[in-house]
Amino acid sequence: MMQYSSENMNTPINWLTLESVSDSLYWLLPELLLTTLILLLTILIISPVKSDKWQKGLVFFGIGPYVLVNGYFSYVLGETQIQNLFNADMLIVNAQAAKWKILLGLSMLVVLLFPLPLTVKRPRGEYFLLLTGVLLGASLLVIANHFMMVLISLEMISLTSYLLTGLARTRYSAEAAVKYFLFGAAATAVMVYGVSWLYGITGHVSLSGSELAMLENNFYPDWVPFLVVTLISSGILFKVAVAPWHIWVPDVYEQTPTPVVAMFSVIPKLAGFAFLIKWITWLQWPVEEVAVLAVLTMSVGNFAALRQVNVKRMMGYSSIAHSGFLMMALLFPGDASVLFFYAAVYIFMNLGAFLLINYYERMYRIQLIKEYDGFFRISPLFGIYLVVFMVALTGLPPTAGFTAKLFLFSGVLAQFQESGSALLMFTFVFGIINAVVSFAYYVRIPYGMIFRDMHSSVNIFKKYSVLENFLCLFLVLAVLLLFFKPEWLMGWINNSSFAF
Amino acid sequence: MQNYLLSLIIFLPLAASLVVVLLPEKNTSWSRKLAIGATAVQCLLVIALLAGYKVSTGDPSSLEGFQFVESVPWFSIDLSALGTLSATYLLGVDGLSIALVVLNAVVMLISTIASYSIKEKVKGYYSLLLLLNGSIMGCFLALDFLLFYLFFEFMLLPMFFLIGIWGGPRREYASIKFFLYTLFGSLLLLIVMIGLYASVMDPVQTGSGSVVHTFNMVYMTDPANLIEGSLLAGGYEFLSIPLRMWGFILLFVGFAIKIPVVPLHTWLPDAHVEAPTPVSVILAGVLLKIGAYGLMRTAYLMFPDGATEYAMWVGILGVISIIYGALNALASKDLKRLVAYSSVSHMGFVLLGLASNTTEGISGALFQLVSHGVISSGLFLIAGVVYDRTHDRLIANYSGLATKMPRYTALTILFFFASLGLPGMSGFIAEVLTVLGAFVSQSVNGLLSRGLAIFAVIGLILSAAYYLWTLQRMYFGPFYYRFSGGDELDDLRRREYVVLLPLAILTLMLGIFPGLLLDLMNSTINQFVQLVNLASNWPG
Repeated sequence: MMQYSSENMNTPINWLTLESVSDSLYWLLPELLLTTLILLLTILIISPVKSDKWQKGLVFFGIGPYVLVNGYFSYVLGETQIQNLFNADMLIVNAQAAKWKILLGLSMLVVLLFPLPLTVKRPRGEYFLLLTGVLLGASLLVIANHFMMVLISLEMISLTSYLLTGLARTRYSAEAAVKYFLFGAAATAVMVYGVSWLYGITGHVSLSGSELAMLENNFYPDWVPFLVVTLISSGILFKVAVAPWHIWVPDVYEQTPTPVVAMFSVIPKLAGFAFLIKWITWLQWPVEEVAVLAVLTMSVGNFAALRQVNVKRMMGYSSIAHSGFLMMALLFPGDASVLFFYAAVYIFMNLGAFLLINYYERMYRIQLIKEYDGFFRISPLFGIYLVVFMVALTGLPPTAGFTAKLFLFSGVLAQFQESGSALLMFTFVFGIINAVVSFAYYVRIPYGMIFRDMHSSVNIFKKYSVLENFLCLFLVLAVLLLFFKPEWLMGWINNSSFAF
Repeated sequence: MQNYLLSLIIFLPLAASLVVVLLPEKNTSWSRKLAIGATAVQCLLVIALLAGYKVSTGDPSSLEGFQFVESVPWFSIDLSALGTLSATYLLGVDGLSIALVVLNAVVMLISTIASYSIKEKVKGYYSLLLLLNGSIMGCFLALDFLLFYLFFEFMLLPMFFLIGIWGGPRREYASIKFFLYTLFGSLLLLIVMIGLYASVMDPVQTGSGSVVHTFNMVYMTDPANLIEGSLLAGGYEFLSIPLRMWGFILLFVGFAIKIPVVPLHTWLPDAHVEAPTPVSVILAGVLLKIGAYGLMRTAYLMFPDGATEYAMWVGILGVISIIYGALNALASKDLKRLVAYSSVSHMGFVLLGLASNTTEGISGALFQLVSHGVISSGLFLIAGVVYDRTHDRLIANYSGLATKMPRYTALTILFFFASLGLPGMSGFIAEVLTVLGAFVSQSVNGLLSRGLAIFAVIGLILSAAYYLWTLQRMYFGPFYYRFSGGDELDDLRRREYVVLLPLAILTLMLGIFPGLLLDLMNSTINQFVQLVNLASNWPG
């Protein structure tokens, strides 16, 4: 497989010089940090130390620098500089990728602060190990520029995710893990099959170069490029839960421990979209197909969420719907800043919502929407937080959820202005309709909390958790502040070019 | 020099709301005192605003036409594919908004005072009321579409909770219905807002090379600011209707839900019947006015071509609202539902006046907004008086209230007659002006046919019918109350006078001296009519 590079006329072959290797290792520092972290965690697990405090501390001391190093890279790399690691066209680091990785690292830090539910017993070393594994996979996917690398990083995310799904070790979580594994393995297999087509036709599986032209020459029937693109994309679309590759989501979300679900809803998804936008730019995927997928995904997610009774299942469908909105951002791949902004805001509001769901699940053992009834009186502050997150997820002012949707819809409209395709207008209108529909289910939790009386079966007691309180306050403030000052985030995004 | 009066008017209640939340749990009476105090101070500020307002100016298509303007850059973001997006914290007042600002301050003060019957969760109630107050003021004063939209959306949440927590037995249904209807409407506004922002440039900041898109509502009313080749600069179609027409239609539907116009009105009776009395007062007194105000400020000024194109349809919808609302009021068994349907009917006149686009019609429409705000507030308070005593609003359960409650009956008659358009009261002036506008429109600008004015008058006759019939059934004849609580029905108490008398005086004052209000708005209205008549200046 490695041989193809020597045939590529465009890139000089100098990957044996010591200088280029050491340079590349420098730019690979964040991933190396994570790898070291994983090794240390493994040692800790087999060591006689049984408390998980050490492991938790270690993870923070590993992922903190990971974020800082990426922050430094995003600063040094400037607007357009690109680092082609090992000159192999496999991994490409630029400021944009560094920023995506900052987002991933930060959300992982928040997830690590989630208190684990009681269902996860025993020394929890492997929990931190597996989370770090997901982050490493996601991190590699963001900088991947070659389908070998994409497969490796996707599998890295997938295998750790399957294990995390089964973490609670109950019958149902085992079922969810097996389902996830089977669907996931099938999706990967399909993707590998697609990549083999691509290699067979073009002799390349890298994203640099002009393979697309080869794919579209007249030598092959028309359906071949379409087939190849569809097969390859399905692996990634599966990970980011775009309909019709979303079927694993509800079961997995319902049965997996909530902190893990929160992680599933952001990290693989954002890494997937960070890669998709590269992939779509390279492919020049027809706008129509993206539009249809976006509308389908958000409609499936929102309309199915309307009828859910379990909060986590509902949030699963909500995360599908948000994948649809993120797909909308792929309609104008020339400008990834909107996608990035939406993704960042999505992290704040979604992690906030899951933090609260985790809190209620841990404290009061509740999982159904109707069990939230009347809780506003027990903890009004958390009720207000939940209102803010749900309003943000719907996309109403005064929250950054609104600003993100505003940018998104403006982008679609600008694209319509350019191409005049009525399909884009439909996408725009469907997006708005979906926002209204989504309110109907997001509001159900806070509505019951505030308006209805408590069910007698729930064990009522007042208990505050300082950590969750502060974390929520921070996320709420972020969601509100970014509405009033979107330029604080957008300015940072825009100081490096987000176009490929 | 910057003038901070308008910001003060908006943020005083918001700040007070925060203070109410932070008050200690046990001193609930303080939250009421604080709320009344803040609203009273706000009223004084509005009086100061009125005193400083100069009548002579008022061109709603340029910033010079506005007074007390405050302008602070909010954010300016470079979205590479979409150009620069800039939003401003821009406030100002002109002839279209000044009267409504005054109305809001008065109605808010009265409904805050009238909230004595709220005994549960008092703190939450007053803080939400103050929040609502601030966001409604924001709606009337904002001149930046994003800011307007922010206040417009933000208004929904306190209203939703006020109906949903302190409402009657079917409050869940009513509050959700209210919310989903208005949310749908506001998302239609969002669509047009994005379209407008994509198509309108800031003439001041643009010119130095790159195009700067703006949310400024004043710039949006000038065809010179349309960006060449943009979505709303003509030439684009969707489902074979030009996008400019879509812009008008969507804005119209979005605001029509709020007004409400007949096929979209069904949330209103439910919300009114379930809402507590003071909230009904706000709902009818000012919330509905935002719909009509928004229609004037955005749909008519930004899409005058659509406004003239669809004038006949708007007029017909207005007349349908007038007659259908009146017929429903005639059939209502519940006193509050009757008043709610009469609101639908009377807001139809606003639509009719707007559609005519004559000076008479627009003046009438604006006058009707204020007059209906005052009268319907009074009517809901009147309905609240019996409800407070017996918790029963069915008309058929009462008879001969006049014998037991003569002073109450006198005030009821005054408000009923004001609402049915008796000369000497504000409703008469408003309705005469709108009908006149609709009547002359055929010869002045040919937008409406005279037949509409004639149908509208039928609505007036119907409103006389339902009010007089109600008077006869509930208030005259021998005293009778169906259930045992009849002894509770004593005459007006002091605090009920405090809220009802100012409204009664206002109604009479506006009826006898309509010039007080008309002079305030006149120059802006003349400009408004001219602007809308220049529809041919707009491309497409």
